[in-house]
Amino acid sequence: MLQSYLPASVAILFGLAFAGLFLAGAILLGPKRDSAVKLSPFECGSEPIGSPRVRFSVKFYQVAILFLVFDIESAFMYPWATVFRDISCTGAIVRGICTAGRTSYVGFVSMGTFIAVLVIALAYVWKKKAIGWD
Amino acid sequence: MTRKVLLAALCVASLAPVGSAFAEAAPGTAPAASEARKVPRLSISPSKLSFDGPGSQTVTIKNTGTATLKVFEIRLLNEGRPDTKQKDGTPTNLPFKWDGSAPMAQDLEPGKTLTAKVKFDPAPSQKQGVGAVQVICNDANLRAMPESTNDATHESSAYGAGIPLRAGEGGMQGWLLVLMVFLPMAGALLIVLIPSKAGKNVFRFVALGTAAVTMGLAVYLFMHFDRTVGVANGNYGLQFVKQFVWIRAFNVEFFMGVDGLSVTMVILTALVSLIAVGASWNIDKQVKGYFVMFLLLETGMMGTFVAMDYFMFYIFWELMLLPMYFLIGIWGGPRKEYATIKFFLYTLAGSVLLLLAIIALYYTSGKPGVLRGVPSLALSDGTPAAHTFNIMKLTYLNNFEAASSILWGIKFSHLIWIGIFIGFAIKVPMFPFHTWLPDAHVEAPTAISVILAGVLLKMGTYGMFRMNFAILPEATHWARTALAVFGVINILYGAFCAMAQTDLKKLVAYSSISHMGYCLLGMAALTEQGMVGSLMQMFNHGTITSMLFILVGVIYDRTHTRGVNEFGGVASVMPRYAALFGFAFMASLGLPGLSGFIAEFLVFVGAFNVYKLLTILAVTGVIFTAAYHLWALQRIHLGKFNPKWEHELKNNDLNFREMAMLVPLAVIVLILGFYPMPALDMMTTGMKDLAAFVESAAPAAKGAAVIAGM
Amino acid sequence: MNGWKDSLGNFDPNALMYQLPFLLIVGFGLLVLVLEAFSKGSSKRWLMWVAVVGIAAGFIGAYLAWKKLGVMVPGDAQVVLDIARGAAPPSTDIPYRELFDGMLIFDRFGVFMNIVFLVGALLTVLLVADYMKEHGFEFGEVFALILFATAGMMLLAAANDLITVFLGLETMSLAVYVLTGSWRRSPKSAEAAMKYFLMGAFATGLLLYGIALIYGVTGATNLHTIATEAPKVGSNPLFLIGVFLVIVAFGFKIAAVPFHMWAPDAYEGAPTPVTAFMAAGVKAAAFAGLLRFFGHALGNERLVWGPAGWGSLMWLLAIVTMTLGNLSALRQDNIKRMLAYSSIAHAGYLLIGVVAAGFGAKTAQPAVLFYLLAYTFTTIGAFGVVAWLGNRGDERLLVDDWAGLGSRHPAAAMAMTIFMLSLAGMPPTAGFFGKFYIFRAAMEAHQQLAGQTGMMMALVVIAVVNSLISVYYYLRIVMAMYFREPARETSPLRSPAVALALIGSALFVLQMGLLPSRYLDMATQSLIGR
Repeated sequence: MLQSYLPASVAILFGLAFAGLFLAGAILLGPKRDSAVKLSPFECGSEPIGSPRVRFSVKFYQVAILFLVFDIESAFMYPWATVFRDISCTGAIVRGICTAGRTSYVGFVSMGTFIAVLVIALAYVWKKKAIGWD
Repeated sequence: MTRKVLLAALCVASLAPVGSAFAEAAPGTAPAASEARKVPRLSISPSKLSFDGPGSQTVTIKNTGTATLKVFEIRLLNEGRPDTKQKDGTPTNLPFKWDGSAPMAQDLEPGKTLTAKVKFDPAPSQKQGVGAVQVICNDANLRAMPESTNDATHESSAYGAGIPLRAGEGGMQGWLLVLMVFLPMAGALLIVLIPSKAGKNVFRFVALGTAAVTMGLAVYLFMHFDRTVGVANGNYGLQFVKQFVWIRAFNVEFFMGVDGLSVTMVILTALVSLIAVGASWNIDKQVKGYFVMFLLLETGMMGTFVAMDYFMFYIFWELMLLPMYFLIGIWGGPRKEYATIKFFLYTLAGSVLLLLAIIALYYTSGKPGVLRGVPSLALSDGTPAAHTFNIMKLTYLNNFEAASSILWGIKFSHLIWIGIFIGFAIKVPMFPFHTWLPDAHVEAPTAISVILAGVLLKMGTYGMFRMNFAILPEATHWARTALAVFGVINILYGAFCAMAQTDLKKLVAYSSISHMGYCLLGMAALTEQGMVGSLMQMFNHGTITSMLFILVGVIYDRTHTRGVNEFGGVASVMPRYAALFGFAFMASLGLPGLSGFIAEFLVFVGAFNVYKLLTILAVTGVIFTAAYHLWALQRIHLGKFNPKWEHELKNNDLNFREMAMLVPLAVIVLILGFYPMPALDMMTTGMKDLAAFVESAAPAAKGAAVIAGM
Repeated sequence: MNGWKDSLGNFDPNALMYQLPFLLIVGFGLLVLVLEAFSKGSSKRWLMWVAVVGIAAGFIGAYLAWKKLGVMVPGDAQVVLDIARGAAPPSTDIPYRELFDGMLIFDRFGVFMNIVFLVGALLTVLLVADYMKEHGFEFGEVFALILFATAGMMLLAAANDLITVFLGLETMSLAVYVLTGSWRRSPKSAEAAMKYFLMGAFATGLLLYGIALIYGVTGATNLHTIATEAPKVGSNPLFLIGVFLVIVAFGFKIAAVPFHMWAPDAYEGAPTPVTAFMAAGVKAAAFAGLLRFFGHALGNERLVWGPAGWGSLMWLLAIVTMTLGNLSALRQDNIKRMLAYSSIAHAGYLLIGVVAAGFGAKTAQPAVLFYLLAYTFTTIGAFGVVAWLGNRGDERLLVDDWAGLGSRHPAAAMAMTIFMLSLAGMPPTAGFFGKFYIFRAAMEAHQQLAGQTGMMMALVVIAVVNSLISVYYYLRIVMAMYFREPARETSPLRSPAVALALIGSALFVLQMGLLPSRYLDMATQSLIGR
């Protein structure tokens, strides 16, 4: 089973080896003549002013995290969708139609519950003004 | 205030239903599934037999199942121990007998019954008995406990069930000890409920009343304790028995009873506690709390001496520790914090060793007696039990030597013995573990010193008799010489230390260490004389040392110093004090005619045949004992009166309260000195059997069944 | 329409009954969240009562689930006695119910643990409301977070699969991280939350790595499959590393030495009621997981005591944990830190139970359960008194601050004394029976090893010496309260809710010490199913 990964690892190894080879060559063979100007940080021609670190508003993070959370939650719907038809019928399914048995709401209700919980979370976030910018 | 009360009431109310809602009392009703296959099923009725005096009752054994019930054997058990001496199951020496012929082993068809009469025919001297009926049959549902199934003698088709036989339960006698133990606790509760503003004297008198009633019960006990009953009379020689199952999950019984050993200690406890209430009269700080703690302490002590279940013993043992901690810690002297924590840690170190030994004994118990898959042990309600905490069963129904393995290069039973022994030796206190005692005594208030020396130290020696000697006699033989050596060291070391003391209270404390050495030497002799002497010494030391501490307290109250060298000629201003002081000191050094002599004499006589050299050494201890006693007496009472104490001591002789404490003790010391028989009789009833039992485990006399019928 | 039941398909609505406590707690947690967001007014104290109602509902749910799971084999002696009295024989099978393809298992073990968690949550909720108000960081999400953490614990206690173990552990932990940092203005609280979070995340990583390795070797995450597969692969080094990593991860959660470094700081910095919750609930949940995975699933003789068995590792862990915990606690002057180290030491005692369970001591599982229940009441009570004593952002944490409490607030001092004695394992308190039960289980394990080794005996001896050491520092507080004169004026919290929690837990500690039978019976009936 692991053998199928062999070509990939060989490729990776080759990549690393070549990259290392060229880097090492540049460091070992290339001339080194440092001066103050050469060693100063280069910022598109302008003089560096102040620290390069900038404080971002916490709101960015907030929105990013909320997006991530709800985005990942929605990923749970994919596996559900693939089995939705099967769990919605108590009998056999022929060509996509529930022939015997009756429609089951188990699948529907369980996803409904899941979404309801998400809605509660969304409502909470909304009410706490975590989504708005001000 | 009302809100607090309401809250508390709410909490209390909430406690009741919570646990019971979850805990399943019984496995419930019959499941439908069992109807499918045919099974025999045993039922024994009545489920409980209760005798009030001689008489007989009918036991019905019925097959309520659907298949034939094979009854292999019906046995009468004394305390759950099968007596297999006779083929028909008729036991010897039991107060319970089959009335008429014994029921035969037979097959019972479904619905059929088998009846048999059981007669309770106690010996005239015996007041109570506990026993059980056990049926060995093929009711597969009567599962024995899983532990027993790996035994080689197990037969898969045989199971047993037992029902209790009880006697004397309805009478006053069974409740006497329970009352004595819990009356002080009730008194403490009463004091808690009385509001603080009622006045200090109210608390004092409630405590005095409680202790006095307990003492009254102790006198009743002394009068009604049957001195002719021994182990051979059944019930393990215990009297005033109260027994029921307490914690079923742990096989723990509530089991109280007294034999000669216990009853001596119970009486001593009641006496010393009453005297100590008197000595507490001048406690002025937080009187309410003081007496609550004091009475709880009495409950703890009393319970320790009457508990015949090892687990229960341990609970009381610990229960006694806490009040003592607070009594020294709150009402003690300047270095109380150091003294209390030292006392507490030392004692607790001992008790955790006890705890370990308890569990080890528990798991070692029961195995050899397994018969046909039925544990030979039974709780008092007849429940078969694989293991037991019951001290009497641990003593007489087990043979730990047979089941002992080697752990860490030493026999397991010896290891347990050492654990128990150190636990009790700390309390005695024995030589290397004694350092907590002088500190605790110096810081403790007078009354607490009285209790400490008068009762608590005896718990150690009592425990050695009860656990080390009785439960592990073989190991006792193994360790006896060490025990004697430690006893002699205690005698001499205590005496030498006492000689060097300038603090009178410390002197008395070290004299206690010395005197407890006699107990150790006496018990190490393993002869009846030596052991009775040891027990006698326990009692006498309790009375005499109580006097000594009260006397120290008397002079400390007046002068706030206890320096032996700071006095002189006190006899000239306090003649009554001097007389009692002299009396107590003479008793303590063992003057013939006073009770201390009897005990020491018995100890020496008992020990001399066994340990000649050690006994001679111990006798020299008497000389040193006399030396420091007389020396202290001389320095305090003789010579010229130190005028420094003119104001404090002159015209300030013993008052009524102090006399009331000292004189009864002096009378007891005097009477027992001349006529010790009432006490000796009582002590011998317990010690005779114990000595014989320990003797039976001697390496030479192995296999000799000394206890008839046991 | 042939009735609504038809539409359920093969879903059994009865299954919901088993998870009733869990569902109720989650539901009420969401309710609290919504109410918090949509209610007017600044004081959110009333949400406490919503949470209390939720927890009460949880208790009822636990009761129903307990009954539904049916009769267990009662304590050994009980069987014979009841039958002798004519009762029907009980089933020897331990009733349980597996749900969600064996991801969750419901048995009385889980229900008992649920009760422990609910007790912890209830006491914490009662303590935290007025504490927050007094120290000025009131916000209502705390109650929701406590309920969510409780739900996570319940999930962990019902986990029958390493995935659900992970899920429960994380649900619980995430909520508790936030709770730890909930005192937002206190830098210590922030520090505590940070440390706890980092260490927790690290532990989570290790746990996942361990699960991955175990899965790699056994091909399963289901505990029962692992139990059957593990003996076959027992000496595979990857499996051993996996088991080792899981032990390390759980070691972090229960703060076992040497994975305890975060605990004193986190415990000290967190708001005191939250500390109590961490010390009781989180620890109990982790032990539920330990018992399920190690005590039960890996409770195979070869795995436990083999040359590379986890038993020897856990044995060592227990010794080091209790010894170092106690020795460190000796030196603390700050009560919160002292209790933190004491809780480390108690984790050590509990580990004895896990080891004993691994050796097949039948009393070990119930012993741990009883211990956890007793410990929950005791430790939350002790932290509760600490929380009660402080006011206005000024917590009274030094031992000297407690001097003379006995004469100034006798009721509180008495409650604290009861808790200290229970932690020290003195009768007549719950702690004594807990310790006794654990030691007894270890001795039973010793007996089962039948002289092969004295290691269980050694473990008990060390534990006993440890409990002796611990008495010293517990009594330091008692001594300060009773034997010393008052030093500083105190004006503790005036809160009926806190008083209720303290009185309630003190009474339960006493009751479990004086009449332990029904709790012991309950614990003996709470065995792990299947």
